[in-house]
Formats: sequence, C-alpha cells, structure tokens
Amino acid sequence: MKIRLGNPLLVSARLEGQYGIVREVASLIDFNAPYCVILRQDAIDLGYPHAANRHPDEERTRPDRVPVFTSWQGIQRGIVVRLNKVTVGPVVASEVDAVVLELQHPRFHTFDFVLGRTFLANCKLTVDVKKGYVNMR
Amino acid sequence: MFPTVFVRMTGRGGGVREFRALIDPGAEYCVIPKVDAFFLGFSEIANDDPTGQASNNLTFATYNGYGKAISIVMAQVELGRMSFKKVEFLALDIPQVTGFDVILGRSLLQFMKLEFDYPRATLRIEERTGELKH
Amino acid sequence: MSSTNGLSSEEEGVPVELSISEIRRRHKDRWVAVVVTKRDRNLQPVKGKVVAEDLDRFLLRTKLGAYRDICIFYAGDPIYLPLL
Repeated sequence: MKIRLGNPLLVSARLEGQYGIVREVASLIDFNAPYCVILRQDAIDLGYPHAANRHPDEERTRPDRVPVFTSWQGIQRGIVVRLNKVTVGPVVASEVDAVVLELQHPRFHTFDFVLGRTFLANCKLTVDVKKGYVNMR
Repeated sequence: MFPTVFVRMTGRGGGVREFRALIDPGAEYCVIPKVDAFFLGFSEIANDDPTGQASNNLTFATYNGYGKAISIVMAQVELGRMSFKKVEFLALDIPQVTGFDVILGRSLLQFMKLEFDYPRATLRIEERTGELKH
Repeated sequence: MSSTNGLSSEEEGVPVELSISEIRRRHKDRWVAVVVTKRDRNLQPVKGKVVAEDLDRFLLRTKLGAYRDICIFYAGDPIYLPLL
C-alpha cells in the first residue's frame, strides 16, 4: 500500500473493538511509538469501559495494563486496551494493543489515533522522503 | 529495539561530536541537545532573553502540546559513508531517560530511502542522489 | 600491559580499548564518552576508549572540554519506553 508522505503522515484506519463496534479514524503513523495510542472516548465507545478509569486506580488493580512512558512532558502512564482488529487499506492486524494516555493530546491535532509498533510489528515500511511516499506491506 | 545509528556532526567551529541517534521519519526536524549545539559553535543557543526572541526560534507540536526550540544549520553530518552539508537541526533536550541525545528527522532523511523491516528488526538506509523535488 | 608498580592500564586510569558491546556491558545504564579507535565498513564504531562516564548526560559534558572529536552514547536500554 502506497501512502503519500504528508506532514504529518496520516492514513485512515478502521478500529474494531468489542462486540463488533467499529470506528474509522484519521491516524498518524509513528515508526518508533511502542504502542498505538487511542483517545479515551474512542476506547470507551469501542467497548473498553476500563479506559475511563483513573490511571492510578487502574494501576492499583491491574498494573499489567498500565505501562509507563517517557514523553516531552516527562513520565506518564497509559491504560492498555486490546483492539480486536486494526485495518489500514489491505494491511490487517489482530489483537493490537493501544494505550489511552494520561494526558489527552491537544484538540489542534488532526488525527485521533496513532499507529505504533503493536500494529507495525508485522509490516515492512519503505520511506522515500524525496519521492514523497511510504510503502507499507 | 529502536532504529539507531551512530552519526558524526561537524559544527561551525570545526568541532565534532558523534552520537547514537534515533531515526524518526515522523519528525520534521533533526534534534540535538542544546549543550552540544553550543559546543559545536552555535552560541545563539545560550540566549535566554525572553524579550529578544531569536529569529530562528521555532514552535513545534508534539502529542502533548507545543514546544519551542532554536533552529540551527549543521555544517556537516556524516552517517556511515554518506555525508551531508547544511542540515537543519532543532536545539532541544530530549528527556534523559529515553537514552537518546539525537533524533534524525526529515531534514536529513530527505536525502535517503529507508526500509524498516519490523519482523526482522532491520533497517536499510540508501542514499538518494539528484535534486530534491517538492 | 602493566606499569612498574604492578597496576594494569585500566587500574591506573588509562583508557583501554574495548568493543562497543563490552563498553555497554561494563558501563551499563550510564552515559559514556568514547574516543573511537575502530570502525566497521559502514563507519559505525566498533571499538573505542572510554574517556568519561556519568549517570547524568549534562555532567558528562562538563568532562569533555578537552576533546574536539568525541562519541557520546547511553550504554543501556531506555528506563521507560519513549513516546515522543
């Protein structure tokens, strides 16, 4: 699948959660993000009510679901939800872990989801900045 | 675990610093720590006057909001056998716990073709020749 | 190689040439400054001599005033995964 290299690098992704609920959202491809990143409300809508929990509370009961990250703002936590399926064009990945970050990303961002390594783990990506495309397969 | 390479940078005064850099095609600019930019001859990094903003002061966006950094032009950047002149960097301190000092973004990667093979955990870098097309 | 007082070069504080993997093992989770002595065909450092090391990257820089050409890296894995 060939994607035009915009700034930011955006694609449309279909997220399938519990009970067959689907959301199609604008997504940023992040080559180094260890997890995908999802908005809290989307995670709740897709059937993961624990995404609404406060991070310290979730960490107390399910520490395995609260990984810790370094961001530009410092150390922050995320609550992991396991999406049944994530589809970008012909590329499909099942059982994809995504995190709801403690700090929601600002409203000015034009994307609602970040495709990280939990999705890209089975992909081969070719980036040609000069020609202006990313090839994903 | 992360795509990294050693990269050598030559600044204004001829000083050289070599770092293990993170390759990130999603980043618009390359990033270097402020203290190293200062060592490499970019004294404008030390300007902390809030009233007199440098003309090369840039605002950038991240997942958590905006940030500001000074833009500098590195005299030379060597990546393996490839050498590039006049590469734009932002002088910015990445959180120390990440273990990285330098990020290579599109201001340098525009001269290359990259292949990320995640299943095999390999990265292939190929130099691009010819003129830059927008 | 040892000096007349019986100490090895490393014990005397003279940097010893080590492979990068050995440097990462010996100085785990610390920032190191290395003078590179050998490179591979991609000109990536293979061996070097550690001239300074510190837990803090900025304190490490204060020790590098004498070096015009130096290699700096973190000899460890990120404590927390970066999400930048």
